[in-house]
Amino acid sequence: MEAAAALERDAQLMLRVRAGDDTSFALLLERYRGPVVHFLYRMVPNQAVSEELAQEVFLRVYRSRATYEPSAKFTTWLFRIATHVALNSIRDRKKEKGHESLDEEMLDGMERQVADRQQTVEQEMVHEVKRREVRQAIEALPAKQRAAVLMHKYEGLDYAQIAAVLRCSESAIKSLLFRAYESLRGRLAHMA
Amino acid sequence: MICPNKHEPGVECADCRGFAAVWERLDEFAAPEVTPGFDARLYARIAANEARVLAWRRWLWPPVAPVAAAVALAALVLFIHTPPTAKPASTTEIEQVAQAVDDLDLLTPIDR
Repeated sequence: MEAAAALERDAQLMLRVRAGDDTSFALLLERYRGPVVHFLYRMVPNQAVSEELAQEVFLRVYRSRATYEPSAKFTTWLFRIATHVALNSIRDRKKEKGHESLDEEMLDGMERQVADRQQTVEQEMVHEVKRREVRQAIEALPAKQRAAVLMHKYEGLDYAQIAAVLRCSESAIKSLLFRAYESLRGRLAHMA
Repeated sequence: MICPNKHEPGVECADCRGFAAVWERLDEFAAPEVTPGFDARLYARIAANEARVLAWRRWLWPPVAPVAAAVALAALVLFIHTPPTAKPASTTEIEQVAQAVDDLDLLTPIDR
């Protein structure tokens, strides 16, 4: 009930943005900056790229304000844009994947070291290995399965919303998610 | 969760436990915090985009619209008054009509 009310508030905020209220846009940005950046980071594990893509998402939201219609939940619309941007980026980056992946891992390793100073070195290394394995397992999924898992697991979208984002049926999404989680289960089975 | 097996709610099968384990392991993949300055960079991009759109509209609208409208009108008159047995349109006339049609397209709102 509370979630439904919050979603409706977001559509109302976006309608105010349509009417020229930039403060409402700032409120939406505050609410969804994190989720969108985190979703895009897990889609294309590179912090700089994910933030660049997230900015593209919010720029598109702002540019579309004049024609916005609350025909779907705001989060559905927002994640549809984010997924579209992410899938385009993945497609474009496949060509450059060879020499960039090492840089991404090194940078991410450095970021984790800065963030996790509280842990011992050993704990940090174990954590980093696990994180990398999960990241690689997710990265190995086909792009749409990846997007569905990320929306389901990390962003809390339900089957209906994910189906609306990916423009397919709920039963197709359930099937997609089942295959994705099966694949992840196989890849991560060795992790204790 | 995502288990396809039919069983009573609250009862776990081996697949349920397997998927629950995956669910837990996915928690390892934390995302870093958004860097400071994200909003400032975004607003700078929005401002630059808005300025580009405004500049395009200013450049496009005043000089081109009346000229395009005049050309389109001339083309329409030519089309209406050209008799069926008239000689075939010259290459120049065809090009003028094509240009008028292209110019008409420019009159549509940019942000549509």
